[in-house]
Amino acid sequence: MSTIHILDEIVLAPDAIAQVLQLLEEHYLPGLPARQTLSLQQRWVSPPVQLENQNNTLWLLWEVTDAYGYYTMRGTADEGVMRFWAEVDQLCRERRRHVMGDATQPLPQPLEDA
Amino acid sequence: MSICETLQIHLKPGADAAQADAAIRSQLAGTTGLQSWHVGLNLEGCWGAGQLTVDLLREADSADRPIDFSGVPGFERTDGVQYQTIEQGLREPDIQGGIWRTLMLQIRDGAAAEEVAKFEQETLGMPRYMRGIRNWRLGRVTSPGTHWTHVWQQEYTTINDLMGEYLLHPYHWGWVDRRFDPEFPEVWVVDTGLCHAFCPLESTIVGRD
Repeated sequence: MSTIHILDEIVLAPDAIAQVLQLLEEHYLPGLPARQTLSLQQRWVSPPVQLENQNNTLWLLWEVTDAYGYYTMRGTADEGVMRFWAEVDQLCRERRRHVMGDATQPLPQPLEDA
Repeated sequence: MSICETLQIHLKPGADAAQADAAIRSQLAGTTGLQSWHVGLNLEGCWGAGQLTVDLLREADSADRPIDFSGVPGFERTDGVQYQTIEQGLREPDIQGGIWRTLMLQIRDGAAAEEVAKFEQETLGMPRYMRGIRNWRLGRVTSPGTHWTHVWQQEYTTINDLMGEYLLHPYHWGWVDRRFDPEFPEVWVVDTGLCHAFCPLESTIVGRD
């Protein structure tokens, strides 16, 4: 089983980026050791510049060890996690989450006899 | 017309589950208005579940009268629902000696109807990707007095098909699971409180209902 990556795409005003990162440090990251299989790999922003009257996108890349680790991550989300997202949703314009696998692996297909 | 019902039997701490199993079987064998029934001792690894899973196919004219299990040794309470099948499928109607898995879930308050409909279809899509799901049924709860809204049941040949293929398939963790995940905006529709139970299957339940 290979690692699974989760990408959070958070569209927000440039001046909200620091607030979200602070919330991440205060509410989400302290709980990671107890979640065992989840780690934060990257914090990116695009475009990497503040433009006039334009939002930025904050990308948070997470990694879990494997599929069993994915369910461990799911089962260990606590109040701090929910508080983090509730506050982020107040600050951002829109948000999406993506669960991603290895693109070099063939995609599982529907069964022929299904 | 027949009514499908599934129950989790919760026993008091320290109760003898095998003794309760025998008592429930004896009681159901003498109960009128049952077209079929199945009793299984839940296996290690269930959560939000009782110690036994009981499935009944009841005649409609008596289905509104709850069966009283209070005489079962060690009985504590039941957690059960009646439901209407949305869709079911049979790959192996003559399955013998497999695993019966029951998931009872609750659609959370405020979930958009169109997202709930997508959840139902995505769940029913699982057997198209997982050969280990031999027979299956998704039902919408019809009985009052319960917070559960749906029942998702599957029959497997072995426990490895449930704990392996079902859990490890990308269609599960990478697609359907987001419906159960509060961290997913917009598409999260299922409350985090679940009843996940699995027990030995004697012969098909889906196929005979």
